[in-house]
Amino acid sequence: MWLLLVTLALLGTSCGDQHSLPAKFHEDRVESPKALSATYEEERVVLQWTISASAQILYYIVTVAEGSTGTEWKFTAPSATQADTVEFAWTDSFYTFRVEAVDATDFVSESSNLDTVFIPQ
Amino acid sequence: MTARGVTGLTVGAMLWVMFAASDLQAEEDVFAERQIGSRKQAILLSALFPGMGQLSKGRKITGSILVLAELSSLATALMANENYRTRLDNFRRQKSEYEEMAAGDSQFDAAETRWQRLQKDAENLDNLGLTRRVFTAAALGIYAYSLADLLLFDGPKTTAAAGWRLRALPAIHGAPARLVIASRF
Repeated sequence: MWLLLVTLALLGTSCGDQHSLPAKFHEDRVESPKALSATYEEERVVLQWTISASAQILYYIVTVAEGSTGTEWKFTAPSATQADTVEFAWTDSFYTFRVEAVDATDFVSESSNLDTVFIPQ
Repeated sequence: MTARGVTGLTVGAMLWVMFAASDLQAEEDVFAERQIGSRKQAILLSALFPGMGQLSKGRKITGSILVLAELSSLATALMANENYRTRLDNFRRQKSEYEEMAAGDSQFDAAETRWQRLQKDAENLDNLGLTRRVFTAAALGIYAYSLADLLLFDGPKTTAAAGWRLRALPAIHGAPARLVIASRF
């Protein structure tokens, strides 16, 4: 009885630091692109976004999602630019765009804002 | 009846009461020894498990409450402890997976999802740790109370403490059965 109580008491006093949260790395790792805008011009969609000059970006991932089916396509854009032009076999639908930055360790940033355009065919 | 007769009867009654009281004292000494013996036994039983000593002394309600309270506190503390250990293993696994994500080749969304799950698990572990501490403390408290109850509040009662007593004595050595009011000072 005593052993059981003492064991429980010891366990009870020692459980404080066993489940501390790890250091949160992912929020400050890679800056995410901001203020994404998508414009449909002459069978192409021109994307523009902003990101700070100090961000260490290896490349960007541009994701296009078709509105009715939700099907996604991914493209890459070089790190030197803050704009991209997407040429695609568009159908008569809404398309949603988002951009993510990727750093040298292949860590993908938080997604930018979404921008949707209607593409008539 | 003459005054001499009344005096004789009074003296006789007094002598009879004194003899009866001496019989009673002998009986109560044996009773007190038995109480001391059973008290030690009760303390030992309560040291083994709270409430058992009270039950052995015939205090069924107190004993039952203490036994049940101790059992439920221990069961809750043990269950919380087991649950804590299981969840702690899961928490550690997820924590190491999250830390591996920092090396790269991972995504913000996956890391955020994992982080939120870790936060929720940490809260659950906090609650389980608190439950375990509270019910362990309760079990210890009940244990201490059970012993203190026997040691401090359940001592052997002396005849002086008992005050006046009315006893029925059986017929002994030809003397008739009688009712005796007696007290010790």
